[in-house]
Amino acid sequence: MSSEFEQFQDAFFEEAAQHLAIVEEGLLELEQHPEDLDLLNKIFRSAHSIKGTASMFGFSAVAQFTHKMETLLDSLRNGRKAVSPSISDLLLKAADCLQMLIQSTKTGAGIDEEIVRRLAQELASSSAPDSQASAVNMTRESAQPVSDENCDGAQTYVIKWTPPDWLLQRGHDPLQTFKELNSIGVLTGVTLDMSRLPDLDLIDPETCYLSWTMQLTTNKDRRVIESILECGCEDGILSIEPVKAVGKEPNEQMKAAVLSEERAHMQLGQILVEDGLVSLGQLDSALGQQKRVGEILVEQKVVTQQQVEQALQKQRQQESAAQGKKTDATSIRVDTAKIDSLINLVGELVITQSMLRDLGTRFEMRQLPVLLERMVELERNTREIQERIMSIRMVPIGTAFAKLPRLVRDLSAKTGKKIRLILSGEETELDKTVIESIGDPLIHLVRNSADHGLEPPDERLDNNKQEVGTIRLNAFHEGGNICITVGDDGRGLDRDKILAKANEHGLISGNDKPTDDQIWALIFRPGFSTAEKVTDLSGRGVGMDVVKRNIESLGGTVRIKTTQGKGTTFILKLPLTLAIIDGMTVRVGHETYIVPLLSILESIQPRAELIKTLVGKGELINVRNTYIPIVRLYEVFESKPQYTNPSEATLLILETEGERVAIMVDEILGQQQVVIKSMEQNFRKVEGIAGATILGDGRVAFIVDVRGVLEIVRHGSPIAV
Amino acid sequence: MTEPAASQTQRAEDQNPRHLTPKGDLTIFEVTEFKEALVKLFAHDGLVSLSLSDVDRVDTAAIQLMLSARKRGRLVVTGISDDLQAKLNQLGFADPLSE
Repeated sequence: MSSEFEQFQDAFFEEAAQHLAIVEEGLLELEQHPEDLDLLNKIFRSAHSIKGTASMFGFSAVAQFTHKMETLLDSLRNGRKAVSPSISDLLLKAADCLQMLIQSTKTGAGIDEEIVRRLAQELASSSAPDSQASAVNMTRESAQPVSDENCDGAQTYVIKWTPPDWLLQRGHDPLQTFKELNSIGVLTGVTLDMSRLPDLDLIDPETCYLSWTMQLTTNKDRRVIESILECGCEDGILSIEPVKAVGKEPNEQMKAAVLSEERAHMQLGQILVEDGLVSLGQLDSALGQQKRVGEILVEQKVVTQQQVEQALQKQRQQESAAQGKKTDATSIRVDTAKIDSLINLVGELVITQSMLRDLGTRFEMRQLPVLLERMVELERNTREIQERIMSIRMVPIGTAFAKLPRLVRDLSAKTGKKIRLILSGEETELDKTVIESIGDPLIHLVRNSADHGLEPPDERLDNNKQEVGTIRLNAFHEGGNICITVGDDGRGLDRDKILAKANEHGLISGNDKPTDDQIWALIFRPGFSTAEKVTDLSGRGVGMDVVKRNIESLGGTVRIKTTQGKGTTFILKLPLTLAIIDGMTVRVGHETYIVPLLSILESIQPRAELIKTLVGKGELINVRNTYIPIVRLYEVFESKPQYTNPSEATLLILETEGERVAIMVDEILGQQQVVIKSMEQNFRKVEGIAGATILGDGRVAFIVDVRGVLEIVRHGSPIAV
Repeated sequence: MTEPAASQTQRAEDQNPRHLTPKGDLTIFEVTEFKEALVKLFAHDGLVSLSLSDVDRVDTAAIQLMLSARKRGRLVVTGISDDLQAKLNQLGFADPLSE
């Protein structure tokens, strides 16, 4: 029961997070379109769903708070109150608070009761004055704020029900619904609202235009009512408000489950007290004699008090980090069609497998063609299943963008800058793990753009720019990668000042002539970016190293494009998925390497006269009048090749980030999909190698990191820091 | 409306074009047909009448349609059974269906 309960709880948290996202997104949009009733209804429905499920699970704090939000939303919806900036601000704050409440329910973390109380009051006072009806409701509630106990007797609910348009089409009849409601209590005051009913000429006779208000007195739980009106919840509007008391206690069974769950985490003292072996007083005094390990160590002069404090601080950080991890969403919502097709494919796989087994038991040589045919089928099935499975992990990147409008709105208010956020490419699909990990870097980049990139309105006007600054996010596919750009039309990076600072830090000597890209890369240096002065001068910085590290840990890259006075764009390039790539297997001596197929442009066996050697540039190959540097893979990995003469070997022309390079290998073996095994996890990071894989014959092959190889060749060591 | 019912309706209309006598069930399955019949009925000026005495089952879809027709303010409905009246009450429609 308890694990089932937990499972349902998880579903609640997931759903609540989604609804919260809708509420927040809706509220932000509502600021732009205050008169949009559909939007209000959408927000209301989501808030309502949170309230409904929260009270079902007995999370009364969440349910009550949402109820207050809902009351305000309802008066907005009914036009009794107009949407004003202060109201949407309040609602946004309330949404934050609600998120906090839900989080605290989930993790057991503490909450700031004062904020909750204050916001609840503000919500109540904001919904009260204009609307008589809700004012009555609110005063009743505030009179008995947390008393959920009085739910034994019958309870009267006011039910407002606007069924979905398709109600009748799908064979539901409100008459039946009322009959059922009558069977669980006394249904009175049914009032029919025909205001949406069109004229006979215009009516679609199969669409439901009617809505109702009614009162139901019942001793049944509100969930029962909801389940009867369930079909009205989905697309329709349903509100069930208790007239006399607030909320409902959760099902006793569920409560018991929560209790037994709590017991599982009881400490020794608690158990002893519970079993009556020790009194609470005795336990307290015993615990009072206990010394903390820090105190003991300080007494023994092993460590100083200060060191203990620091260690405790560290412990708290780790705890909160662990808690943060715990709250990460770990489930995924999948279109049932995807699952169905997968099941079909698995069915086919099973059939092919049984055919093969059958063939294997009484195999004769003349059946060889049949065997080969079956093998091809098996391969096709496996590949398709793999593709479908991967597609399940693909999620639109919009989920990672969703937090940004709110962030920009708040930043705009905080910095006093006018900022317009333009999002595009939200539908681009990306592996779920990647999406989860890019959320923070994106927030960081947007914050940087708003904080440092964009100028204050006055400065913009002085520079003949529009007063409103723009931050533009775009996501799109490029080859096998996803590109995400975060750009602003602010002041851009200041080359000279970064250079000066780099000199000062001794990162670059006066004689060096670094390229622009190398200079921009400096802002990703940990010490560099956090140095206060540089941040002020360059207008960029804090924590950029973290952004770069995060992106690189995903196998991605960050590039900067900037023009002074015009703005800066960060270009993130990420792999579509982390697990499987299409690769070309190549041989160098006795070693097999995998080159990612997406970076390969072509392969050639060059004529000797096309190869030139230039001083300072090394070997180059002329490919249709473009000179491309040659990299001998055996030199990079220090192995023994079969050929050392490029005209005998094979050259693979690769492209990475706009740069072309020809990699010299002995032979191309073929193309195959490879499962990437991490080097970092199994060994350690090796420059120039993106990972390893296991080949069909059981041998291990390395996957070439094209970018890494290029950097090794060019600099002897990677330039990336 | 079953086939014979429709033809009977036809005959009734032939006799009096301002009068409609549907037969059989009036439910979500018949509403489209019923709507057409009502629109045809209202093509005539003045009061029009609808007799429900030969009707068996009526559901909310049909009731909604009649409520929409009633908005025209010139529909006289006869033959409302107790059962139908109870349904109207249950749906919270307090006024008489007929003008």
